[in-house]
Amino acid sequence: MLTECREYRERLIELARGAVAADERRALMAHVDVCAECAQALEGQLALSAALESMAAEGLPEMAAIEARVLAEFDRAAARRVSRWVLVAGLAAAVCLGVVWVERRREPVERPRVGVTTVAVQTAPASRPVSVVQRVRHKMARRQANEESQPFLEIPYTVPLAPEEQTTVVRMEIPVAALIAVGFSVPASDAGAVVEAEVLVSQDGRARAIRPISISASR
Amino acid sequence: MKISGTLARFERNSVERHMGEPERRPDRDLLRQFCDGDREAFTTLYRAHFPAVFRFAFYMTGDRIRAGEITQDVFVWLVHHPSEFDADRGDLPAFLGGVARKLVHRRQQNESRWRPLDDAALLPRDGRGGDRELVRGLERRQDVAELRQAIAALPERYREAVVLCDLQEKSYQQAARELGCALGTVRSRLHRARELLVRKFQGKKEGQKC
Repeated sequence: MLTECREYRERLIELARGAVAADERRALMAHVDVCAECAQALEGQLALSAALESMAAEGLPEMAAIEARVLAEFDRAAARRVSRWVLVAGLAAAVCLGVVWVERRREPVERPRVGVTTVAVQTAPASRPVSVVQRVRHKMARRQANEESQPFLEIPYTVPLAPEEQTTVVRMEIPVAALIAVGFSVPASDAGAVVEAEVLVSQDGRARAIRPISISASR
Repeated sequence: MKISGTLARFERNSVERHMGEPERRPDRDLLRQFCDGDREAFTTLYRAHFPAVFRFAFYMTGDRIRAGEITQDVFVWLVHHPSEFDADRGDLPAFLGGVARKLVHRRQQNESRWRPLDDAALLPRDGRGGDRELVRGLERRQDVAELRQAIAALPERYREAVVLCDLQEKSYQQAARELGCALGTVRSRLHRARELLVRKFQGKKEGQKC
């Protein structure tokens, strides 16, 4: 084989693959016309390309069984993944419950506590805020106070509520004068004003604490 | 001229083969959904990529049963390692092709100790005369089956080049990326492989004549 032909051979392969531009193809064909060996080589490569093309065009076999096996594996993996998550979630829940249980055991027995609270009662239409400092002892009152924005204020000189005593909350309007009369310090300029408040009534029907909501001027 | 007429058949592939495939964007979404446990998404992915993976394995092994097993292994591997696919490093077909390559390689390494060495016909010969008969012979169906076996018997590096560039019609650039080698290396391997294949058939025809 001539050195020149050796160089042509590589390009003839590309020619047989259909990867050669028109100009170069003309040049290659001109060589093939005068070189019998290269013509044979090109023919062989073209035959190979034709066979490869036929091979690539072959249809795929029916592979339903493979698909079924692959999807079954997917289902198994998904089930394992879910059970792993359930296990992790279960462990996390167990840890959380353990922590809560330990914390609850550490917590002292809940008793009525003495609290100091500052409550601002807005006068209507616009007046100075009223500060009332009171002790609140009852657990229920304290819990409700946490839920609401203001705590219940114990009515002075009343018997403290028992720890688990049931109470009722009644909403009513109370004259400022009445509040002053039971011992609250209400520095309101209008003694005839009315305070809308929630009143905590004990089982014996007596008012034990109040939670002021708003105050309105005398009618 | 006869050769010019034959050439016209292959011209239509020249542009398509070298322009590169468009990125399959839906693959990323499907893969994400499949990672979240979406069976439908996985089935869609499987059906979209099964043909290419199977064909690759089939051309590499020359055996449908082995190809089916390798294809199954590729997708089972994907079920368990979806996070191994990095969309920034390439598209999913190339990734699955890489997995299939490794599995084919591993399987053939395991099997090689049991396979008789029958590559003598691949050795270079004095190439005079047989090509015209080859043209007629290769067009026959049984010769396609023989070609498949001949490809399966090629050394792996040559076989990969033929399968990727000629049978799966990937550009040299795509094949080089998948094989992790230079573009020129892929081209020279492919040329070598094609020469070996032509010589193998040439030798076969000469043997039949005798």
